[in-house]
Amino acid sequence: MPRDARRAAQARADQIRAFRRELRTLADEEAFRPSPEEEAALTAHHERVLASLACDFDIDRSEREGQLSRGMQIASLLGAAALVGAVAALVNQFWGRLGLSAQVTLLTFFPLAALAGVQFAAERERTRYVAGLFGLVALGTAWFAMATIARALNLPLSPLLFWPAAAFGIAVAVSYGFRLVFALSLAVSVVAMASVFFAGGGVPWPVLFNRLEPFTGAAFALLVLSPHVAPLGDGFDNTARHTALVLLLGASFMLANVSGLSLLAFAPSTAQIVYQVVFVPLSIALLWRALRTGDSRGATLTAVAFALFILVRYFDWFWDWIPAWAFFVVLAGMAFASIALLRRVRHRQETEAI
Amino acid sequence: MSRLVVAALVLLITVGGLLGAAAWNRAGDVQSIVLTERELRLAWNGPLDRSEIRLRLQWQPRRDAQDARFWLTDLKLREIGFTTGVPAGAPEAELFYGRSLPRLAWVAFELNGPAWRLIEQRIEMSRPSDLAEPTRAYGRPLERSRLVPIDAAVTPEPLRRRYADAPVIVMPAVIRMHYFSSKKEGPSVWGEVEDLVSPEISVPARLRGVLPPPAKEGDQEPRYEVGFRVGRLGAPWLEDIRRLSNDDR
Repeated sequence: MPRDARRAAQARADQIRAFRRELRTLADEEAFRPSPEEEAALTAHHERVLASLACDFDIDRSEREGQLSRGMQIASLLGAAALVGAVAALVNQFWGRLGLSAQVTLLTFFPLAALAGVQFAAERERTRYVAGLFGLVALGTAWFAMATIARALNLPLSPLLFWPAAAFGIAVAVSYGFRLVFALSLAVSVVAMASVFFAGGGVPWPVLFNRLEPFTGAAFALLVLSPHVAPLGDGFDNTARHTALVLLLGASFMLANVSGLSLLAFAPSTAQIVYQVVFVPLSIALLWRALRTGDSRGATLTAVAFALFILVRYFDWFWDWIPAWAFFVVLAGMAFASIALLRRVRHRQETEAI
Repeated sequence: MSRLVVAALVLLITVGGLLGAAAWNRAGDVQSIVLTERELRLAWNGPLDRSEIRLRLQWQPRRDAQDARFWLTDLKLREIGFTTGVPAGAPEAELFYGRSLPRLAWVAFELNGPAWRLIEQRIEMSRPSDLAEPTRAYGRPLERSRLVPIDAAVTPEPLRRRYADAPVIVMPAVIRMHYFSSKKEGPSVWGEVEDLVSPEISVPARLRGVLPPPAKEGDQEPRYEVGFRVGRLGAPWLEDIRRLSNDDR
């Protein structure tokens, strides 16, 4: 059975719910009403399908159950953060009194115990919220262990450590389809890729956060490579693409708006202008691609980044130049213009679909 | 369980790798020196009863442009990887050196040697108003580290050979270029040790009890000395700590 079968099952349940809603609407509009026999047969069939899906995959059968599931997802995220915090506080509490071997043993035990928790929960619970919680705890405590053991041994935090940190996260994520763990691990692998650029030139790796081009390049490489992770299933290709988009757009946004973050040999203000010019076609190209491929989340991410960019540029360029009332009127005008533009894009897509 | 075995293996190999790196660092040609509280101070001034204790290395930053150029010459800066072709007086110098990236290099730190004695003389000659400034270089005696950077290179071997018989330790550090211009002295450019790669050293549990509580304002003289070691990877560790009596000082 494929690992993303639960998502397919949930999609089928959502489809049945939508079908029933549409059938009720059609009946209310007196456009179509199935005969009582047909309706009974249809209802019985759907109930059987839903019962089977619920039994096999523990899917959400109603909107309310879906809301509760989202609540459980948030609760598992908070629970994971709290557990990692508890481990860090516990270590801090007794750390000084322990010898090195006890410190290393304890730090290695926490992530291994969390991995055992993942396995134990995944075998007993089909929704995998608790397993997901343990997956995040395993990731957090493993990264904490790697950094703390290096610190206890007085070894500098080398960029070489980012590779096993990312590999551990990817191995945990792939085991049971934990997409958040996957996204966090990919973000670390982007940092690892960018650090190679600086470490190779004898420059301290933390500079990668002060000169963002290698980070941007690594995020772009991840975007290009993201379709190749599709065989892993569980929508990991989408996760990789969206993680890459967040990192790429975030780094490009910073390069375009914050002075002194570029490696370019120009004055900081000139480099900023260069990246402002680059950001517009880049985000339009990414938006166009997301719309073409039907990637709604990717389109939203790019549109939000582009809107933020326009807003920041507008404030930066015009706040001191024009009166406040005119400033906000133009801003409202831009909002209307963007609505009109998006309508045209939607209309065009609808036409193409027909 | 097989799905998670890969993750567990990655973790165990990484931890094993860290322990192996630490063991390799401590084996072979180890540098050894005895430092005092002037050079190794508590990194945290809070209570020492529960949490991890770390000591922070203190060194003379040699921020004076003339002094810095004396030990970190243009030639050495170029060797480390800096571009120094733009004269300090050139219009583009401020932008050029201001945007220059820091570099990793191995730095030789001399303890209580001729370089420190020159700095000490300058402290003695400085006016009382200067001494009132609580800077790292010219604070109270306890804050005057006698560890002074005297040489730098891309690799540690030449430095270790050159200073084999001197009270010198060679450690990896971050070096940065600085540009400053004043009406009185004009523009100047120099290199400076911005930080060490491992500036803080963990105190092993067996040595915790020897350390006194954090220094108070009235403490003038060092209260402990530390057997300090630096291994092949440049990672330091503490071998022992000894409380100093009045006679030792």
